[in-house]
Amino acid sequence: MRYRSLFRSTLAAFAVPLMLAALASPSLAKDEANPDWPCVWRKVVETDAATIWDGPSLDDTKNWRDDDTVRKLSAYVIARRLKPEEVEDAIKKFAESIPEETRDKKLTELFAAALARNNEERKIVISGIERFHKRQLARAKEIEAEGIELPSTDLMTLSESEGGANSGDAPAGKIEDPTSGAPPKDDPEERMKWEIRVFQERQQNIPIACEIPQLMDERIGLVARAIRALMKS
Amino acid sequence: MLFLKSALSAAAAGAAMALMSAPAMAYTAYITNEKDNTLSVIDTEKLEVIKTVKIGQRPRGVVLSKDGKWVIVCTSDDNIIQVYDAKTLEFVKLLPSGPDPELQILHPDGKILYVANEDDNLVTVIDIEQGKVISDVPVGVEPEGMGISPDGKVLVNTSETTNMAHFIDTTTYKTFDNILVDSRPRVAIFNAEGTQLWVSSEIGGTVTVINPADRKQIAKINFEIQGIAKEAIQPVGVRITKDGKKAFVALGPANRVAIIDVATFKVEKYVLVGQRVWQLYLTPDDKLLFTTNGASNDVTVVDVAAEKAIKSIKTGRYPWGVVISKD
Repeated sequence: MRYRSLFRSTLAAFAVPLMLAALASPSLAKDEANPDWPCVWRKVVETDAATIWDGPSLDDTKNWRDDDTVRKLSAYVIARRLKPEEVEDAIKKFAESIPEETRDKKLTELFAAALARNNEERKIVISGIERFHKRQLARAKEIEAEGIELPSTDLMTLSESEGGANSGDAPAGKIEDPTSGAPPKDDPEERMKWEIRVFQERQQNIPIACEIPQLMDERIGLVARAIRALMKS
Repeated sequence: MLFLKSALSAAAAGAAMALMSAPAMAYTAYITNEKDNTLSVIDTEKLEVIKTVKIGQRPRGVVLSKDGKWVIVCTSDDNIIQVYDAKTLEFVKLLPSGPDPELQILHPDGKILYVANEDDNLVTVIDIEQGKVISDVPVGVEPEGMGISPDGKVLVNTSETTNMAHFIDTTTYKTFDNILVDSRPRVAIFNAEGTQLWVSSEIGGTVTVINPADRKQIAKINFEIQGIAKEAIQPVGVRITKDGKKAFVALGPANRVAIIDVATFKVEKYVLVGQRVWQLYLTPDDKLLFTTNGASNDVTVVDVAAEKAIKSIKTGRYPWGVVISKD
């Protein structure tokens, strides 16, 4: 038991500082106003229209949900599984289906709808990243205290929304846990090694998750440009 | 014509070019694409990509040798500096650096390269002809911005986590002063006279202008854009015209470049450019400004006199660094 205890304390002594260092990555330069934000990028919860839109005001677009086509198309064009040309084609087809006199108005509405959907999803993704990071912090503390009792089926859910516009994307809502499965129950050493491995493998998913808001920015910008290219005003 | 519309329309490019106040000279711009591991080469007269070449992993900071013959690139994920022939774009050699080199600057004599290594809190001093490390200078955590005084006597490095501008004597390689600036300083640049040092702070959302002689603050520039949340305004790249009259600050995901009247330190105008604009570079005649836009995968060309975006040029994915050759 002495060896075992020595092993455990040694493991904890080396592994925990490493884990805490990992929590500080990928960037050490933290945004002090947002301590639960683990990404290199500064936390920006919403994409403001003014960052990507130089078209007509969005004030008259609040009823976009009443238009079935706009409602469906706005969800479609922000789905990141689509290729850029598929997004542009869909927007072009929509524009061609609208009489010229109302085209700009409907295209503005489509942008407002896509932006609203983008921002709804963005909030979910961002809060998911923060929750995930908080859970990792808690896990690190638990391992440090050697009082580990983690549920074996605790998959990392980054988003509560499933089956939405980006359900086919990876990694949009969930990150698959490569270490999922039952931890060894009887051997404390093995259990601890397992917990550390789980922790480290989960930690590697943070940079991947952090890229999602960037990919969302890229897409909504593409949507804005594709729409503006078809407008006269 | 609205910029976003013209950006996508090839036909509009010709009309947009007509907006330019004077004919453009043919220079060559080199853009590093962080995600694609490529270098895009742009003809600044045609305003189009003329060549794209595969280079090392995660290329970021890029400079030219003094004679313009070499393109020198921080390939961050290879933990090394790569040198390419500026004309043929063939690989020339490697230069040593520390881990995760991000930004670099050449001494005005063209012989010494200073590299900020993001992962080891050191600035590496390299003799580029011999390809040897001369010295390592300890600085703050996550060094990034690199500025050198026009006389080459003072090197300034900013550290993203320590939030400082470190003033380094280039003869002794010792730090002789450290100045606190706002959160996550990204870029440091001297004006052509060497009387001002501009430091951008990405999280702080400001630019601090420092007098290099006494290291006292001359001005602090804040940015406000109607309809855009404060946290989206993230100053990174800074460039100042040679006559010292205009400065340009890239504002990250606000997708704007601020044009500043240096005499008053007031923002004159915000120009809408591509998404997540980070680094900037002026053509040698100071007529055009090139911006790298990491989220829209393009470069925006701004006419300096007209203060307008005139063209958007598609590059590789996540364009990061930019430098423009005199040739």
